This record gives sequence, C-alpha cells and structure tokens, in this order.
Amino acid sequence: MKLEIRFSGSGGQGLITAARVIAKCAVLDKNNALQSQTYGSEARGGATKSEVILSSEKIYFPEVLSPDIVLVTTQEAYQKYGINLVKTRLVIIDSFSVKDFSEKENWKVIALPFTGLADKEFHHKILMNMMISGFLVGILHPILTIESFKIALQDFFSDEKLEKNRLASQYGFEQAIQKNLHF
Amino acid sequence: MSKTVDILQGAEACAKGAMKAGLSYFAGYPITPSTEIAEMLSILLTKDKKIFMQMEDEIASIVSIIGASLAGAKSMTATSGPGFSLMQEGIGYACMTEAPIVICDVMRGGPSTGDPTKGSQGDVMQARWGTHGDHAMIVICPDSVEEMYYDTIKAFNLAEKYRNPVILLTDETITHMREKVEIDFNEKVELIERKKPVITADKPYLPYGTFDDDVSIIGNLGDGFGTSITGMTHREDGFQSPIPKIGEPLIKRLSRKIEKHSDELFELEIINPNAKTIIVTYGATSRTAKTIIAEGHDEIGLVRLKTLFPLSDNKLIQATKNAERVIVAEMNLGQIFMETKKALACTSTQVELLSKVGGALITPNEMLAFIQEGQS
Repeated sequence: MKLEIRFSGSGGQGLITAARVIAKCAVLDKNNALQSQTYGSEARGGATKSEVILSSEKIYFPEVLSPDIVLVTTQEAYQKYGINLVKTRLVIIDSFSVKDFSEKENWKVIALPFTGLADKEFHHKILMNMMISGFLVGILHPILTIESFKIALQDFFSDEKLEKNRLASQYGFEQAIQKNLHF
Repeated sequence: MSKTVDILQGAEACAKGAMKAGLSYFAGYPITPSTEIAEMLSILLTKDKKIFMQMEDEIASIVSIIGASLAGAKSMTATSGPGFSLMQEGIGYACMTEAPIVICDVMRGGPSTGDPTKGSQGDVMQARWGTHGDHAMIVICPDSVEEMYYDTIKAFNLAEKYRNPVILLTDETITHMREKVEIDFNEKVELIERKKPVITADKPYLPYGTFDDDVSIIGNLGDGFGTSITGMTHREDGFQSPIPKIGEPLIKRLSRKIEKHSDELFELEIINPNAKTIIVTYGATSRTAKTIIAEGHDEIGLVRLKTLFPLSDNKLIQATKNAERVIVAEMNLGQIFMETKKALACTSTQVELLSKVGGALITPNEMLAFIQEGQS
C-alpha cells in the first residue's frame, strides 16, 4: 500500500496541521508516513500545499509528484495545484470556497461545503481543516482509523480545543461513512 | 528501554539530539529554513535552565557560541546560506583557537537570498572552505530525520574530540519534512568530553603544546588556567608570535589532527557494492537513489557520503572499485563531483555528474533516465 495525498489551500487554514495529524494517525495505525509542505514567505495567505505519503513500506523520496488524492480548500489553490494531476483519482473539494471546478476523466470529485458546515455545526469556520481530515479518514478507513486520528489530535490541541477538533473530525468521518465513500 | 515510535520533523530531531549531547548554550539568528531548530531549542534549553540567546545577527551568534565553548559549554548555532556566509570569519577563529562548536547549516537555494523555502546542496564547498586560510573541517550530512538525531550527537562528540568546528550540513528537505522515527530517547549514548589539562610542578601549562593526537588540551575559561586565546598565529603557550617556524607547525598540526583520521571519519553507506553503475550522493538526494533501488533496480549501487569532509580518497576508491560508471548526483553544479573526480583520478572509472539546481529534488525518473540515457 502506498498513497500520496495533497492538501492545497491558503496559508492559515491549518492544512499543514491537518496533514501532520493524518501522518501521526498513520503511524499510530502502524504504517509509515512522511509529511512535507511547500509555502511562500507569507505567514498567512498565499497558496500553500501540504503533502502526506502513507505506505506499508519505507518511504524514501519525500516529495509527492502526482498525488492519488487531492483536497482543495481555495479557488486559488485549485488553479495552482489542482491541474496536471496524472495519477490522481479523487479530488475532495470544499465547495464553500471553491466554486469553479470540474470532473476529469480519471478523477472522481466529491464536493462538500466543509467551511459552511464547520460554521453551522460548530460555529468555527477554521474547524473545516479537521472536518475535511475526518472525512478523508472515513474514505480511507480502515487504513486510517478515526480512533487513532483523535489520539493524534492530542499532539496539537488540549482541553476545549481538543474536544472541538475531535467533534469536527468525527462529523467529517460520519459524512464519509454515511455516503458509503471508499477509495 | 523502549523506542518511541513517532512522527518527527528533522529540525526537532536536531534539537533533541543536541539536548541529548549535552548542549547548554545556543545562540542564533532566525533564518528560513533553519528557524525551527532555534524555536525548538528555545523551549528545550530554557525548560532545562540552560541558555538560549537570540542574537542581533549571525556574526554575533558565532562569536557568542565560541565564547561559551571556550568557557566549557557545549554550544551550537543553526543557520542557512546567507547567515552561514556571515559566520565564516568566526568559524576560522574557532579553527585557530580550537573551540569545539557545532554549526548546523540548513542549505537553501543561493547565491545571496536565493530561494529561502526551497532545498539545495549548494553550500558544500562553503562548508569546507568558506573561511580563509588552510584549515581542516568536519562536515557530516544526514539523509533522514532519525539520522539527524544521531548525527547531531555525533557532531558534538567530534567537536569535543578534535577541538574543531563541526558542520552539520543539511538541507530544507531533511530539516522540514516529518517522518516516522523509532528512537529510544532514554538510551545511554556515548558522549565525548574535551580533555582537561593537568598541571604538575615539572610540566608548565602549554595549552597549544605537543600532544600525541595533535589536539590541544586547553583549560576552560574560568577554571583558573589563565589561557591566552587569540586568532593570531600563536606559540605553545597561546601567545601571539609572528615567527614562521612557530606558524608552520601550528598550521600543519591544525589540519593534521583531522586529516590523519580521514579514513575513520569518512563514513559511507553502501548498497549493492558490486553494481557496475554506482550513484555517489548525500543528503536528500540519496533518498532518490534509495527509491529506485527499492523499486527493484539492483543493477544500480549507492555510495552515500555520510561524511563529506574530511574525504578519504582511499575509501571512495574502494567503495567504487567494481563500478564502470560512477554518477555523482547532487543539487548543485558539481561540488562533490569535482572531489570525486579528483579522488578517482588514478582509476579508470568514468565519473559523470547528474546535477539539478533551482530548488526541486532530483526525481527517481530523472535519475533513472540519466542512468539509462546518459547526460542529455
């Protein structure tokens, strides 16, 4: 098993954190993981991408050249990182922010308004990052498990924030399970 | 003791390794892509009641860690290309005064400001020859997060053993990426401490005197030895002297104390040693070679330089003796390629350069295409 996943969006959306939680989750689920990121000089704003490689084997080459799964959370990132994807089979889109997108022959697109759902359900748009990550865990289940994901969150959050992030990820996870989505 | 299985960033591994080695003084100035090392150490050092200093620039940083080192502390700094350039005069001062220090240079695109957030291997020759005058340098180069941890400990041990600056030469890729590690952080590791002088009635205190291993035995400032420290050519007692017969043995000794151990210091990782085509590489680029070998290309060999300097010609000749082609792969215009050509000049092995600059890694397909089709 080897899966390459790209999170692409805007600096400040927490996508590097999301990829880090996924990587930690994979290690807890007894796989290898490698996480890397590309970013500009800005602290916030600007298109960023963060990538995770999950594998049952040792991972050497650290860059994702053509991801299997792409998560896109801004229109700018869709234009910048969402094209020329040779190997990609699944694109997960936050349709709250990305309005202009299309299916390609080799892609399946799943669009959900994650930012809107995070705002509606938890009153925090930022929780989109863990909601979309939970959704990804649901799709990749049982390679990744939501139980490990919630444990991995402890490395990043505590107390009330931890609880909110756990709830958001559980919500995303359930969306994928209810829709019976698999990769 | 049990191993911790976790996902760790290269920078975190460096900081944890430094703490394990007994780091007690860090001084630095933030610069991408090395800042995370300083950030992590600001937490770990202060938690341990040790000293973290954010200095006004890199010149101050390097002289600050030299001062701390001469006062007995295990000290280090971390920087990247432009900051490393500013540190060069201080690095020469540390060579001359035999101050054990560790400098982590996280390579980014250059020259000048270059490309701060992209990787490169362009500082290889700067690490070796950046400061002026004849001198020896130890440069080690990890290729994984786990090795970053152990190499940082090794850097301190070598600095203490040889009383010389040690450059931990890494790059944006290895420093920023996070990967799975299995490390026993509580494991007892061998730590080397600098020798302390012993003064007897019949033996005067000559810190830069004649010692079996050519390494000076200098009392730490504050220990009551009254040591003279100078960047100028100096006598055995540490005081300045302009006499050539004083200068020549000093300069030769400073190089010899390291160069004579080059076979031992020059460490290699070798895969498929009988292959007819061998990739010679180091750092992040070696992961590309490991990828193609892991994918089944056992006709290709790898000689990974874990140490870049001192470089042992003998060991490089031995490691590539079965090869018809040696391909040096690096993210610069041929800095280790030239060293390899020089080392293998007396053999009939063909040495080729696979070079890439501009910030992107050499991909497995690019490496395979070069092996199969040769230089484009």
